[in-house]
Amino acid sequence: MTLLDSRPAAADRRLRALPLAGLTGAGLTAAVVATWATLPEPPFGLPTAGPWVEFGLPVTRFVLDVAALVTVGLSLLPKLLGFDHPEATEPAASRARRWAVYSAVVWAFAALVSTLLSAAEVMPGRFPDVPLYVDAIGSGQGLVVSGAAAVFSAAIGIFAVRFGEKVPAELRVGAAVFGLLPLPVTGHASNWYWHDLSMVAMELHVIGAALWTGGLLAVALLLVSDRELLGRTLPRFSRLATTALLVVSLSGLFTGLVELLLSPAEAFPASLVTTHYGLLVVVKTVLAGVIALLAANIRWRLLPGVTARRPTAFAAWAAVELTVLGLAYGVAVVITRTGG
Amino acid sequence: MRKVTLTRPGLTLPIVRFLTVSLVLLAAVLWPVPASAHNVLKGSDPAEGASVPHLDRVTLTFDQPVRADFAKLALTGPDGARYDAGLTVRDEVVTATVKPLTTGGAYVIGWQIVSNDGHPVSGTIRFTYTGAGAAPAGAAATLAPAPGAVSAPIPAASGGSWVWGLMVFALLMLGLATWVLHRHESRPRHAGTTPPAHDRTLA
Repeated sequence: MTLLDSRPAAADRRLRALPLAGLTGAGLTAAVVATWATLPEPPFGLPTAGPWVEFGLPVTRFVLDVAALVTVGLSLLPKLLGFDHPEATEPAASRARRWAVYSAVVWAFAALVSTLLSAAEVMPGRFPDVPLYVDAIGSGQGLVVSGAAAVFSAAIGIFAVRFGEKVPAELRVGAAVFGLLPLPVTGHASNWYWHDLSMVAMELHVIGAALWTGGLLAVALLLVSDRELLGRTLPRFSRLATTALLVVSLSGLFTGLVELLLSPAEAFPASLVTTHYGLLVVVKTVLAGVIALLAANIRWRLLPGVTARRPTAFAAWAAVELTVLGLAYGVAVVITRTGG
Repeated sequence: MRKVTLTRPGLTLPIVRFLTVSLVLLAAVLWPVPASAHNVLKGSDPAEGASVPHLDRVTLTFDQPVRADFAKLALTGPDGARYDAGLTVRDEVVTATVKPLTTGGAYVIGWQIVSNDGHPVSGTIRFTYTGAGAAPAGAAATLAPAPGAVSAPIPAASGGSWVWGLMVFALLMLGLATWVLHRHESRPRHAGTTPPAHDRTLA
């Protein structure tokens, strides 16, 4: 049973594009709407960066996040497919290797644009001095390191396209995950006692979220039209997703509680509704509930059918879940910018 | 959602329901939020909406130390002229000296600092100046610190033009990689319908 014989090519392609379109479309919409809703009043009498920067920055940051998680997910896919039946898995695996390079290139490009726009945001009213920004501010260094990791990831990816699975999947996943690490670290001040533990928790959170979302996206993009491959792969992904959910939840519990309790601006329960930040937290919590429902739906309602190679609505449900994940990612981008 | 579709043999509905609910609760409670490390304005002198009879400096107090570079403050009078004279940053406190205010009326402070996490934080404070038009001579004398001595100007542009070169180089390399890969990809499609087991043979 090969990948291409079950459906006409055009329908196959449309079906394949749906999860990615849902993720990016919903995420971009959420990022733009949330930015617009939380746009601060410009300081009177001072130059401002203008709408191109104010809206362009969350958009490029979202593109960066999605490209990074797509790279992670596509690099991970060979591990999920397994290496027992190369003739069955190789069409999907080779496609995953090529697309991983493209997404790494998009990631690196988004990191470049994001650095430029961030510099423009910090020094409004003059031409952005990127070297100064990178030199003076940690987020700039984080973006540069992330972009460099993306370039490295693309380079390894090209080797993987050339030499197939001889280039270990672990190396590709590792390179992509490494590019995720500098972003949360450099966006955080280090002025309190539990700083180190919070850093570790946030890194675990970012890694878990990328593996989970990226893995689901890769499975939904490349395997939905092949019932045999899907039936073999989805249980493996499901185990990974359960672990990722645990890790993401526990690390999130720690950072979330600490941040809310340490915020100096407002008292904790009230700050949920009185601040922009708190409102975004509430929105994201609601989205998280929906995501958990959808994940549980796939895990317990669809997985038995998928494992039995029966026709299921997995493609549609995965697209729905990825769309809600996209909304959450879009809101998250704005949360990191709005702050407390 | 029908009850029948929720179950499968061997997994009864109460267990499914319990697991689902606990999972949802867990995720809903624990969904993490990236840490916020923005500086927050704790207070200002003059405060928002205040009426002051006398003003020789503006003070903003934040919850965390403020980066001296990139800090900005503008004091605009009712006539549209700027009255801020210089800016000092010491830990959490940003102080701006002001020129002698000439007229009473509504004044506006606009401020922007770069937060510890690299994001700009800004705000606007409005207050009313009720003092006399002409400041007393003695007060004016105390108002004249050399603006350059204590100000925290934006650092001079770094001579890092090589960074721009590096960025352009990176863009070119990315473009080249994409082009090479695209060419690589389009070849087997024309050559045959089924790709071989390993792409090694293609290049």
